[in-house]
Amino acid sequence: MDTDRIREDFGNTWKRLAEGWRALSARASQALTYFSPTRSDEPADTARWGLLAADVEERDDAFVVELEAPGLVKEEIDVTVDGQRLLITGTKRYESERKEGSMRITERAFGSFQRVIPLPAKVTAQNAEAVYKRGVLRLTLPKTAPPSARKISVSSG
Amino acid sequence: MNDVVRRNDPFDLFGRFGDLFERDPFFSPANRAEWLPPVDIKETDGSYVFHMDVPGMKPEDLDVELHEGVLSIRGSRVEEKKEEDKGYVRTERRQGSFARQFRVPTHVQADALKAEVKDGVLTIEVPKGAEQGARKVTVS
Repeated sequence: MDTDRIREDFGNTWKRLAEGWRALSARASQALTYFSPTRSDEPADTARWGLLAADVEERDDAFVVELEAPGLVKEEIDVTVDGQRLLITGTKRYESERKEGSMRITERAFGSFQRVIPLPAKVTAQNAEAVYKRGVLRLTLPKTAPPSARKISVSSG
Repeated sequence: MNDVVRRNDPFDLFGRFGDLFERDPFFSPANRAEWLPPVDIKETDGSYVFHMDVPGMKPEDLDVELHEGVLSIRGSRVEEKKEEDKGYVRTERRQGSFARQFRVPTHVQADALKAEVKDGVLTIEVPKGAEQGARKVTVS
């Protein structure tokens, strides 16, 4: 798949929004996420690319990640932690919103997605917290305790 | 699919008048949207339904108004803590305000406008009213 071209098309779609989105794309191009169809009979006009913007705050003992993912059911969000790599997968469903009527404008992306967020240090899933509120997933991921420094005394031979 | 066919039919001029369209979000440099949430617009027999992704926004952050056939959706979110905290290693979420305006066909019931926000999705329902354009004229 020619990702650059798709990104460019996405940019064209929003061309009227010159400054705001240019700044956003420079700052948050990693937030641009592909949504895979979940059914074969999905409407052809379903948008495939959406922005799942994330903030990551580093605290002394944990990272706090906030991911914008509106319109999900919390049971369909999966969070996996693998060392310094955070993987968030989920599915955004259109069925209830589209069951009747005809679509005039379709900008919102639907389907299943995954977002990988690299972290600057290792974290552990133990005691991690995940809350989904107002369409924002907030994760608190404790840092893995660094191996305690061991002092080795030098003895004379 | 019918819709696409109708739009391409050069003789169906009337079909175009009812189309929803968006007014340019940039009204002036001073009133520029800092971010623009994506929207879906659906037409049913009885209404126009707007779904807009507004993650993190509370009802009091949002303003929905229908005036003279123009539906305005505005919102703002400010998080001051980010300015103070130096601990952010990634900041993709947008702060500030947005405004989008859509012209809706004039035969809608402005007083029956409904809006709610749930799980970061704003849903607005604009019920259609009686068609006012149809008038019978007696030929003398």
